[in-house]
Amino acid sequence: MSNMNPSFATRIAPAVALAGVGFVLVNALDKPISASTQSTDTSVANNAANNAAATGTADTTPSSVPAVQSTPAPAQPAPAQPAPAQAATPQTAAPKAAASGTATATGSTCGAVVSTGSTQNITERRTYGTIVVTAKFDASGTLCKASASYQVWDNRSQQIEAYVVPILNKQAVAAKSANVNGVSGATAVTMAYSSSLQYAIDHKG
Amino acid sequence: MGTTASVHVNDDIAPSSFDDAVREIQAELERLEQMFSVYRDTSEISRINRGELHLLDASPEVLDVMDACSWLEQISNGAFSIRPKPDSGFLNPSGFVKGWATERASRLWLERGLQHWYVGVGGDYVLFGGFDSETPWTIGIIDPRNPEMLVGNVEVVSGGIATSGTAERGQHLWNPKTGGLADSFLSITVTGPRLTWADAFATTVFVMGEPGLEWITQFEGYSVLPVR
Repeated sequence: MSNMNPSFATRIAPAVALAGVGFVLVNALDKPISASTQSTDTSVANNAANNAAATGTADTTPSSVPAVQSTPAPAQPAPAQPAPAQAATPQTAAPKAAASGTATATGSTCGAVVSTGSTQNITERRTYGTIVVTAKFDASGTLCKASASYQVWDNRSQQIEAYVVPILNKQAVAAKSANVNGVSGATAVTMAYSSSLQYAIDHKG
Repeated sequence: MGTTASVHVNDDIAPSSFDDAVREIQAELERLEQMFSVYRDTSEISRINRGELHLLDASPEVLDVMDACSWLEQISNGAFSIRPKPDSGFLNPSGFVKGWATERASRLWLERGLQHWYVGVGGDYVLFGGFDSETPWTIGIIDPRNPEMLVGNVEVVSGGIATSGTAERGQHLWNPKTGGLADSFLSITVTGPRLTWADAFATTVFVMGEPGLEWITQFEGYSVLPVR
């Protein structure tokens, strides 16, 4: 946590504000389910406060975001990632001015900094999969893109994850457009997702 | 517990003292997890379950939790229980401990004098002081039928909010009395002065089904939001 930058914290504050954006993400589920490993991306224009994410589909790149997006998200968790204990409790936080939506990036390239989160187990009563989030930042350090790879071990989970993960990607970058401070009822996937994303943010170097 | 915590502080504090405050909560949650986790062989609960530790010799925290659970089991006529089966000697207080531990850890922030904050663990929150002095905290309640939507928002200045339900992973609560699935509701959200009880009551009402909505009215200050 020592190098946590408050302005980042603001971006995804709180990690579980994720579902709040759901109100405006009606068409996020557009990925067919074809394999047990899924990777989904989402992007927003740098001025995330304008709800850019809200109108796109899960893998549409707004034209204002340069082509750095073509860097593929890893299909599998990268080999040498440090993987904290399953019970780790990464924290998301936002000192003063959280959710005010005033911080905007300066239009620099999305992907100037790329950071991969820790591999997190998706656990509810039992562990039924893993998820790892890759976050991209522009030169000013603003989170501008999140993508996630996940692997689940049964069909039912797969369907749920294919549904939830693209939404989480969008919500991660657009969280400040949510009009809630947090959500109640979030469970395994959102928790694992936000843990991995928080790790990526804390270790963006 | 094995889940994610999320914290939010809306005070003017230095990043370093914020980090300290977060570490303090993290350490306390970890300490309690070590004490209560049924997934850790060395926890007091695991040792009690293996017969290596007598309840009388357990930490005060463990006794507090057992006490509270016994009371709730009684007043809920068995709908809430930390024993998977009525005649089982095996204890699993995980369902109670998450809310209790979150509230207990968050006391450290009261002592620190933080003014506007929350601590959330796995979708259950202890909230304090509102987002600022004019604005309450707003917590969205996930629609269990459609996790990209919220069924509504709940505004809380100070208190606890917890949801028990089936979001994302299907049914996972059983009625310990009947052995059957608890399936009257898709989710139950409870708010009230203390997260410990909001969380425990949410589980209890969920298991009780419709009669639970009447049952919970005996507790002043607690409100319930059922999703069917």
